[in-house]
Amino acid sequence: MQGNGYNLLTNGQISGYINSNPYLAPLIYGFLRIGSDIKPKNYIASASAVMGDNLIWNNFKPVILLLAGILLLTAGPIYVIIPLIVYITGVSVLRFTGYSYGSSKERPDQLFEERIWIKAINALRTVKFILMGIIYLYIILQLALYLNTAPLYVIITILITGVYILLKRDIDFLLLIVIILTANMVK
Amino acid sequence: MIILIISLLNLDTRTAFHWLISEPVFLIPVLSLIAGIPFDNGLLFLTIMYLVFSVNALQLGRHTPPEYTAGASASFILYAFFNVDVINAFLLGLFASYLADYIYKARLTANQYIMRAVKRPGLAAAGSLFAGFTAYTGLFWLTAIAGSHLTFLRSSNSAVMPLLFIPVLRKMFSAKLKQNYTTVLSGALIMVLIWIFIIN
Repeated sequence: MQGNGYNLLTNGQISGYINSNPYLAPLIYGFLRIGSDIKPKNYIASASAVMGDNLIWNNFKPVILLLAGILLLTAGPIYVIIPLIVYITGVSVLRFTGYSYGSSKERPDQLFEERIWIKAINALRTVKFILMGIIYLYIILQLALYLNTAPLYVIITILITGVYILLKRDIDFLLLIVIILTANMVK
Repeated sequence: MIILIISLLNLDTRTAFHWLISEPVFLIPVLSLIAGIPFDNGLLFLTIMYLVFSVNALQLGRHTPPEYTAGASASFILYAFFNVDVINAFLLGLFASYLADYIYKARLTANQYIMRAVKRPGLAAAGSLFAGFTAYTGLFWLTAIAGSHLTFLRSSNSAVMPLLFIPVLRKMFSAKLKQNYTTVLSGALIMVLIWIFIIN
């Protein structure tokens, strides 16, 4: 899809894929196009891939989803519309201003390595971890209430955590799933 | 009717637009509002579980982040309309989510065929959307049939199923076997067969 999109936008001058997020496509196209010339796509490839992953997939989208989850837990299902509007506004800004921003830059380091991008990624990452902590804590508290026997819960948690640390597995959310499944087993 | 609406919302996945309406955390509350079903603890559980999967989607996929939209939709159908036990609805939804990946691959093949066969871009786009819509409708129709016929899913005595699911999850998330759907589906199938023939 992205490959065809770039191909259509550039009248067949760019063929193949550019690894990034679709929301960054206007920005990349604006940067690659100077007048009637097209810069080689490998000029931007690594920077656009890193930004697509770090800015959108890894931070912006999870922050919006977690925010919606917290609103769902605390305020009710109607309020999930607020993060959705924030998200659509954010990606629309990228879509509609991306081309002019991209075409005003000369080098890839000017395009993505300005302080505002790095600061945005760092801020979003911090917010993501805080929101994730709140969601995990809520689930653990709910499970503690659900099991209704705190000592049993603590024993199960210590056992599962111990096993996963011994096996050197990624424990952060796999542990969460195992706890939930175990909780259901105890039921 | 609700299956058609769910199929339409599923078309938002893996597109260049991707307005997030197809993300489980938005999809389940919206569907509960449309269908007039109260948002109870079961739906909250499903939403939060799929939220955890969605947030970690990038780490779960090797090349592209997997989508859990079809899984969330299937779980919603099973839980809201067929009174399937919430944990069974969740696990079958996860199963449907991996089936939907094959639908995605079939959609790509269909798109290539349509692109070659149809010269007008607008007509080709409409054909591609219709193919995707039909595929999702088929999946949710099958889910509804499963929900209406497999009455044992309504039992809350599902102690063994999650226990057997833990090794499958470990395979699923281990670094070596990321997105090895055949293994995951085989494991899930064996698990379901054991559950049907031994426990019940």
